[in-house]
Amino acid sequence: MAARHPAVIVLAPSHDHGAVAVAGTVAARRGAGAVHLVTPSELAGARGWTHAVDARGGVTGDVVLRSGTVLAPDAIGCVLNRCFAVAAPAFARAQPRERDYAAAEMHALVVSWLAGLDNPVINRAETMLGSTSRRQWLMRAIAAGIPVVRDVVATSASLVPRELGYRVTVRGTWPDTRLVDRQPVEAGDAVVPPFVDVLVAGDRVHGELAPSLQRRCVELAHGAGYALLQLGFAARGPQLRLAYVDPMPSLLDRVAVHAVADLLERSVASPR
Amino acid sequence: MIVFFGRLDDRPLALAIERAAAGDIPYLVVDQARLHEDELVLDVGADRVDGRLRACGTELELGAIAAVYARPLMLPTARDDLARARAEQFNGAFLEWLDDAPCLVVNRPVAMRSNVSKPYQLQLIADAGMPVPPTLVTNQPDLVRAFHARHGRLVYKSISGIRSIVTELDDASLQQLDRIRSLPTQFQAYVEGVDVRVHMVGDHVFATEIASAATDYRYARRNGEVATLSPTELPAVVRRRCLDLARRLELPFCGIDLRRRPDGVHVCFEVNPMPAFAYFEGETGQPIAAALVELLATAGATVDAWSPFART
Repeated sequence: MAARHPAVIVLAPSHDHGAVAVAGTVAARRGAGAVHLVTPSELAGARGWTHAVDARGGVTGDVVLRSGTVLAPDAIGCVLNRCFAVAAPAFARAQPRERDYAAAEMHALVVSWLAGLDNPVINRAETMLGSTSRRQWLMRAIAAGIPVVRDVVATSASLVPRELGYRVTVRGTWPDTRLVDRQPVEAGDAVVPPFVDVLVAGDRVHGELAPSLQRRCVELAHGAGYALLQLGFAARGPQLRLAYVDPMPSLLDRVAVHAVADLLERSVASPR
Repeated sequence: MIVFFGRLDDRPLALAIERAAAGDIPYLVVDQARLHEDELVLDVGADRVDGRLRACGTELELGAIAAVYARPLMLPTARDDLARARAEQFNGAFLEWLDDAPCLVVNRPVAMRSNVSKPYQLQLIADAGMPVPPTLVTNQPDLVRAFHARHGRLVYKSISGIRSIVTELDDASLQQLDRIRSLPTQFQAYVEGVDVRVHMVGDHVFATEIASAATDYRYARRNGEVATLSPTELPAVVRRRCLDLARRLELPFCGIDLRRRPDGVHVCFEVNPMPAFAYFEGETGQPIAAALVELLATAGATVDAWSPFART
């Protein structure tokens, strides 16, 4: 990778059509050499990994892919990180315990590498340290002042508030009906269309939402380390309630693709 | 009310419970080995989070919990599918709640994640002003040889949070360096000096010096060596950095692994977010569990400092 101008790295599996579309859009705007699509497998199977942390925490090192492309920190303008997990291809046929160990090691390395880059990583490396459940997003949304759909989880069906009794999902199938009250269940508001989807891309929100709610969505996303986050609201008349959050939006429509491409271009122009 | 969450066969948890009992401090134990018998409901929406749990015959509103000491371990094998499903449901939902619970949680599961990647955590440690060992992760044998030549002695260890024995890179290992081509491996400059384990409990600092000839004192006995533990004091600047580090990592309770070099500089290897402190307390008499229980019992005064997601 030439170091003329810092490039955008799109780190995404090849089947991530949204990420591929974003890479294509950036390439169309800035030239083919301005963006590199790198799959997690390519990264994990790189010919040369050098990741060094010095005594003061300074990070250096390059990744040399098998294609010959060199990912040098000073040549990376920003990264679109569409990577949940990283496997270790060389261990694909190893015993499960060895394979899992190798995958954990590779994953830990990629997290540290991304965290050590001087320029923006969207979404941040820290988001790869663990997942956030839908219920946790809803709890954080409440804390951010965003109304949410109701969601109840219980170890026994008998604990579910009566008004939700007909919207219960039983966990597992229990042939012994005498145990019906002790079945673990989930329950909640019916989440049905129409939906209002919005995309947080940096400080901007794309989608039909009141400005005050847009601001809270940005706070929710940034508070959790996400510059890119999709939020889906269920609409009940004029009332919107957050129903789901997707940290890896599909980016299949043109507006979303351009919003992310814009975000990457802004990020390259203003390093962190 | 304080809640202790974990397994009673886990010595650190059991020790903390003993201290709470001795101090007549109200508490409730939620034993992961008996979750299938307990009850939990977590009700999210539309603009508030409610819930309650029942354990050991006691029912408690989640809002009445002032502090939680959580040492979540693997769930034991269940006697049947229903018991397993109930235990998993309780465990999963409770851990979800802990991340954002409006009370003091020692420690929140989300805060324990920095340990997933050791070189990542090293970057955070260095950001707090603490020197770290020069570290190289690579799959290129030549670079390891050059790193070895520069530092004289090296150790290698896992990159991830999976526990590994820290091992010195000896001549035999150097001959086998080609094996790293298939998986990048973490090497660190060997740091001469004396190991110091620091347990941070809120603002309390318990430093323990470990005298051992073993490269990894945790496994000294396995190699026929001994480790002798004794209380020690940290220089003020190191103490301050430890406090800063624990706060940055949002860990009210953690174990910080240092080594004091002959020149007096303390180098930090890693931070353990779920320290097995009982061994250190047993060997030194340092009142770590008592300090932990005090931290939990005075949670109202400390919750804001440690709860970035707390809703007040």
